Amino acid sequence: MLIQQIISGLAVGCVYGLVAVGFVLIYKTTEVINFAQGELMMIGAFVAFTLITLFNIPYGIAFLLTPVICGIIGLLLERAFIRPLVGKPVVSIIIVTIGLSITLRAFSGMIWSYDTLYYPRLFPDEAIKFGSIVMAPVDLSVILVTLGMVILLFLFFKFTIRGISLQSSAQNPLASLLMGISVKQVYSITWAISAMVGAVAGMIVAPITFLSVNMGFLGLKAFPAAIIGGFNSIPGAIVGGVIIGISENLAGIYLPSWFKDIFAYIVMMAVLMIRPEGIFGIHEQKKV
Amino acid sequence: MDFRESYSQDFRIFDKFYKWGWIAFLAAGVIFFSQTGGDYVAFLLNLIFINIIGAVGLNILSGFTGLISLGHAAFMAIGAYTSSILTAKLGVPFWLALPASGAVTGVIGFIVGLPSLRLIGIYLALATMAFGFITDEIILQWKSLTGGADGIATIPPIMFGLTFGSYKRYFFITFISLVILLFAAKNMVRGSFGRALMAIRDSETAAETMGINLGWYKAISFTISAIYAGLAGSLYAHLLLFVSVDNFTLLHSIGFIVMVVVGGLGSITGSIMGAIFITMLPEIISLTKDYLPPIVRTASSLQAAVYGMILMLFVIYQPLGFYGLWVKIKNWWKTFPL
Repeated sequence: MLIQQIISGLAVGCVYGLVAVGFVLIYKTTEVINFAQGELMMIGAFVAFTLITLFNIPYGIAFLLTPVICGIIGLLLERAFIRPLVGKPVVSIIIVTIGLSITLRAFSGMIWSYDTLYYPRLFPDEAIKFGSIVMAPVDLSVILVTLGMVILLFLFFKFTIRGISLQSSAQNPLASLLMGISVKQVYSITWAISAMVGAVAGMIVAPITFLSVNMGFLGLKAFPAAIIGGFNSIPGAIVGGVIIGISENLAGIYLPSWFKDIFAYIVMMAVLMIRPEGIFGIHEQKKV
Repeated sequence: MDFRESYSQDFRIFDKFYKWGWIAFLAAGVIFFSQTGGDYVAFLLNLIFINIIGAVGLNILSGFTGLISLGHAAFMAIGAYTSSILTAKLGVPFWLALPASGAVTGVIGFIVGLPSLRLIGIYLALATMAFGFITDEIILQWKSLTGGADGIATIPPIMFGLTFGSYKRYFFITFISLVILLFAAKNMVRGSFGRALMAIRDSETAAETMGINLGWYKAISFTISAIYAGLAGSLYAHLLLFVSVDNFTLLHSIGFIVMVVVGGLGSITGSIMGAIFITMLPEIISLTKDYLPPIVRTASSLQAAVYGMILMLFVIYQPLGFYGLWVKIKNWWKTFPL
C-alpha cells in the first residue's frame, strides 16, 4: 500500500517536476517567474490532441511535432509580450505573465471549449507487475519520458554552444554580452525551450488526469516543486516535484483527506521559512 | 508649470485648494445619483466603493512598498467571514463587527507580513498565493464555524434603529467608510510613514542606511493593507448578505492586482480609477457586445480574455496606468499651444 502510493505519487511528481523545469529555465536566465507555464502545458496537450484526433496524425509523430509547434508559440509569445519589457522591473514582467495565463486560458476556451475531453490512450490499462508492486503503463511512461527530458536538457546545457551560452548569460549577462552572446536570442530560446518542456509535460499528463482548459491550474502545484528544489536548479525542480507528488499522496492517506490539496503549499511555506533558496538552490547575495 | 516652494505646500492633501470643491461636488453628485438611479446603480456604486477600498489597500502594499501579494482575496475572505459570524451568529452589532473584522485581518496580515523581511519579490508572491489557498481550504473544512462549501449568510446592518437592507441605504455605510479610509490612506502616504515605504520600494539598502527599520515597516505595510482588505470584505459580505469561498479565489486576488496596475502603481487616485474601470468592465463589455462578431460575442470566456489583454497591454504600453495617462493629458493642456 505504502509503496504503491509512493509509485503513483512518483508519476504525478514527475509531471510537477517537468512544469517546474519550465519555471526554472526562465527564472535562471531572466529572473522572472512565468505564471503562464501551466497554460503552456495545457496548450501542448490540446495541440497534440488536435493533431491526433482532427488531422489523424499517428501518435508517435504527434509526440514529436507538438513540442516544435509549442516551441514556436513560446517564441512568438516572448517576442510579443516579454521582449518589450526587457530591463523593466521584474514585478511588471511577472504581472504580464499572469495576464498571459488568463488570456491563454480564455482563448483556449474559445477554441477548444470548456468541456473535459477524452485524450486518446496509447497504453493498455492492464498493470505491469514487478513482484508485488503493480504499476500502470501510463505511470511508467511518464517517469521514463521525464527521465529522457532531463537527460536531453542536461546534454543540451553541457555540450552544445547554445546551451553553454544560455548558462553564461544566466550567470553574468553583461560579461556574456561582451563575449558576443545575444541576450535577446537567449530570451527567445529560453521561452521556446520552456514551452517545449511544457508541451511534453502536457502530453504525458493528459492521459492520466484529464484534458480540459483548466488543467493549467496543475501548474500552480509546480510552484512548490520549484521552491523546494531551488528556483535555479533543474535537477532540483524534478526532485522537488517528486517530493511534492509523493508527500501529497502520503498526506492523503495518513492525514485527513482534504490535506491532499493543500499539502504542497504547506510544505512550500515551511521551506520558505527555513531555507528559502531550496534544497539545491544557491543563496545569492545581491550587490548594491 | 507650477513649483512647490515650501514643505507645507508639499505636505498638503491636495496641492490646490480648489480641489476640495471638486471633491465635494463629486461626492454630492454620487450621492444624488445613488438615490435616484435605481437599485442596480446603487448596487454597482456599493461594489465600486468596496473594490476601491481593497485596491487602495493593495496599492499601499504593492505600489508604495513594492511588495507583491497574490493572497489579497484571502484577507478579504477573513474579513467577510469574521463579520458574518460576529453579526449573524453572535449578535454583535455591525458598527462593532466592521472594525473587529478589520482588526482580525490586521493581526493575520501582520503575521503573514513577518516573513516578508526574508522573502524577496517572487518568493513573497508565491508565499502569499499559498496563504490564499490554505485560507480557502481552512474555511471550507471548518464547517462548524464557517458553513464549509455552503457559504455563510449574514444579516443587513442595523444602526440607529435603521435597517440598512436596501442597496440605496447601504450606500451610505460604504460611502462613509470609503471617505474615511481614503483620507486615512492619503494622510498615511503623504507623511513620513509613506515616504519610508516609498524609500523601501526604491532601494531597500538605501532605505536601511537612512535608518528605516525594514522589517517593521514591511510588516506594518502588510498589516494596513490587510486591514483595508478585511474592511472591504466585511462591507462586501453585508452587501451580498451571503458569501462563500467562491467569492475569494486566486482570480479575485489577481483582479485586485489588475485594478492597481491599470489604475497606476503608487497612486491613490489611480487605484480609484482602476477600481471603477475594472468593476464597470462587465458593463462596458455587455454594451459593446452588439458590435462584435457573433463568434466572439457568444464566447463564455470573453470577459477573462479582455481582463488578461488589458492587464498585459497596460503593463507594456502604459506602465503608469490611468493615473499616468491623466497626468500626461493634464500637462499637455497646461502647455497647450506649445
